[in-house]
Amino acid sequence: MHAAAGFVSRRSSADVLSEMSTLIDIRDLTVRIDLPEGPVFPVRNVSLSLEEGETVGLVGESGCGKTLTCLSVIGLLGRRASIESGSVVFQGVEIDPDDPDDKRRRSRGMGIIFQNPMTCLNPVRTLGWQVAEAYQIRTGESRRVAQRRATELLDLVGIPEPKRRAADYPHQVSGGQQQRAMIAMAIAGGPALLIADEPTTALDVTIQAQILDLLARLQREIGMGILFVTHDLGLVAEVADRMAVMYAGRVVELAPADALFAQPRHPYTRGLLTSLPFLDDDIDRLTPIEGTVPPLHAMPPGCAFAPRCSQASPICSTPPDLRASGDGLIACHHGLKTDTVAA
Amino acid sequence: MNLRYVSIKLLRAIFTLWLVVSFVFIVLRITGDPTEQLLPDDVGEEIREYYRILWGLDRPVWEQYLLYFKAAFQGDFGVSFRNSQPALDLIWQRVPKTVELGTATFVTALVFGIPLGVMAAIWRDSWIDRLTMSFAVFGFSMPNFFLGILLILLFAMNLRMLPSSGYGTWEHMVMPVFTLATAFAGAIARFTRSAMLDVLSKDYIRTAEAEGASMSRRVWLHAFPNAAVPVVTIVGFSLGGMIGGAVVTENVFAWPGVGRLLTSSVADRDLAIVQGIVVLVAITMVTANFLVDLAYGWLDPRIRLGSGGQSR
Ligand SMILES: Nc1ncnc2c1ncn2[C@@H]1O[C@H](COP(=O)(O)OP(=O)(O)OP(=O)(O)O)[C@@H](O)[C@H]1O
Ligand code: SF4
Ligand SMILES: [Mg+2]
Repeated sequence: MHAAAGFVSRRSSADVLSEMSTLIDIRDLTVRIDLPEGPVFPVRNVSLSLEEGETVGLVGESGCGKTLTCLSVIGLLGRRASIESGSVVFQGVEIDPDDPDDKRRRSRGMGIIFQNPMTCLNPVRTLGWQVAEAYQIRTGESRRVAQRRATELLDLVGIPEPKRRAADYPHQVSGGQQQRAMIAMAIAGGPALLIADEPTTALDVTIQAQILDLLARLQREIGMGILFVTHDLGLVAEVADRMAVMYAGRVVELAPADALFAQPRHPYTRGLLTSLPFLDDDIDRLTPIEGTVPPLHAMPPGCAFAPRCSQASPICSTPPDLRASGDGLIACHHGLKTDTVAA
Repeated sequence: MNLRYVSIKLLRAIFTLWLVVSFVFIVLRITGDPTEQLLPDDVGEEIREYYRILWGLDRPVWEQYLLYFKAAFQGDFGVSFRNSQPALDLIWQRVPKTVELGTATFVTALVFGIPLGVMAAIWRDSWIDRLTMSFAVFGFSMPNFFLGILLILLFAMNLRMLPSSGYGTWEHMVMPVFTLATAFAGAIARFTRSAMLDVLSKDYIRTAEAEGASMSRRVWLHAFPNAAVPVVTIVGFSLGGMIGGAVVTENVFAWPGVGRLLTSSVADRDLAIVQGIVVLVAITMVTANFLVDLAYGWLDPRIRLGSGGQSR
């Protein structure tokens, strides 16, 4: 299972690899949620790493455990969810969700943006106040400095007239501007990792493209690592260095982005990709693959994709491990037979 | 603050006051001859006739209505028949004592109710939550007169620690304030708790936690300002109950305030005073509601600035 941790990024030939350091290393992570009916495990044995300055796209259908994976990384699982086993190592040190010092380390080193900026911004505080607070907490600077920096940050994320907008409340600006303000909060103080959990899902298509451009620009300028979560494969194609595909709580394919889009190897990824409309094509993509995800309390013992998989065979009733395939890793007993990479 | 918002609320307050004062007028007319209501039974017919002319009861109803309004605006609610002083003067003498009791109650209830409610929400289902909620139910369900009498029995009669009744020193205030404040604090604690529970589960609290805001920062700088709107609402609504409670409590503890004056005036059928107090209470309530409306705008920018803006 730890094969994934040592997985080599696309950009790293052997000599570059030695210079890069691993920012976040998720090792065999299982998340447990206690429901009245008993515990369920929406994230199972997930291993995933992210180098400094790298963008990793995490994709999968709704409910496959993307958000819970993000929340485990930043240590915000909440009351009912907890890490059952495995660990998350951030900048070489394993995170401890219950240790206040470690919490401070994490909040300084990571920023997170969520799907719905409207509900994620405090309605009774101005945008400037919220950005300044994030900066102040991360850096320990004075309120005055933080306020000045907040205006600069709002400018940096492309909000026009940042001085005036700093005095606006969230409800006074558009959804796109709200998400920009959220990004300003997340990157205030320069965290090394930005977790973007479906940052554009709640926005108009044109605004989506702008936010995506903004994230790509910030990544170039600031050089932080980005874990980009989405259920829209087409969206991350341009920004991600590597891709991780999740299905029913597990990573089923992990590959350099180019390789994955050129030659998807897991049957689930292939399903996702073939159902992906060509650009400007507005085919209904609500049901990309026949069938539905098995419910959390009734996961099949073997490969969770088996009920929907056209390649399924008797061996698929045993769980497939992640193993090397082409430039990446897949969790499938069959997968793509050819091991030569098609360009 | 938005001028339009303030003027609308102000107009509403004035309209409500007009309704209440008109209501008092109508009640006084339809319950029969005001001279019979407002004058003692044993006065002679010529004196009644004198008052009928004095009060303009011989004129058409609409003219009476206008005169009545004029008088009410000038603070003229008639004369107490018990000692012939203007009703307003008699009421006004009592007001500071009731305001004193009310203010002490208000402050006590807020100082206990809000932190208890906040703590109950933060540590929900803990012992502090259960204790606070039991206290709230106790405060809610305990009638004021009963609690007052129990306190007198315990602290005045048995322990002899506090004066059983009267006015003057801080010791005199302890039991009346406690009696009035328990129900009020209980209501505030309950509403603060549920409002805080609601707000603490919001996404923006998670955002604050993600950026490393401490627990006290999240509670007081992020959550509480949002929870304050429902809390202010309940504080405003509770005021009516508190005025009712004050009437009972003042009587139990022989507190020389407006409430006590009201009961004695009702007993003596001194209706000029009753009428004055009714209008005074109405003014208080309307003012309180107006202040609550202003507080909403102050607390919530969505109300203050309207939802307009450029919300795309
Ligand atoms: N607090 C919770 N209580 C109960 N179930 C939860 C909780 N959080 C997540 N789940 C369940 O765990 C599974 C994974 O949730 P998660 O939010 O990680 O999915 P996701 O991949 O982010 O989906 P989406 O695309 O809808 O955001 C889902 O089935 C969800 O219903
Ligand atoms: S393991 Fe079997 S069922 Fe699962 S994806 Fe591969 S072929 Fe399909
Ligand atoms: Mg999600």
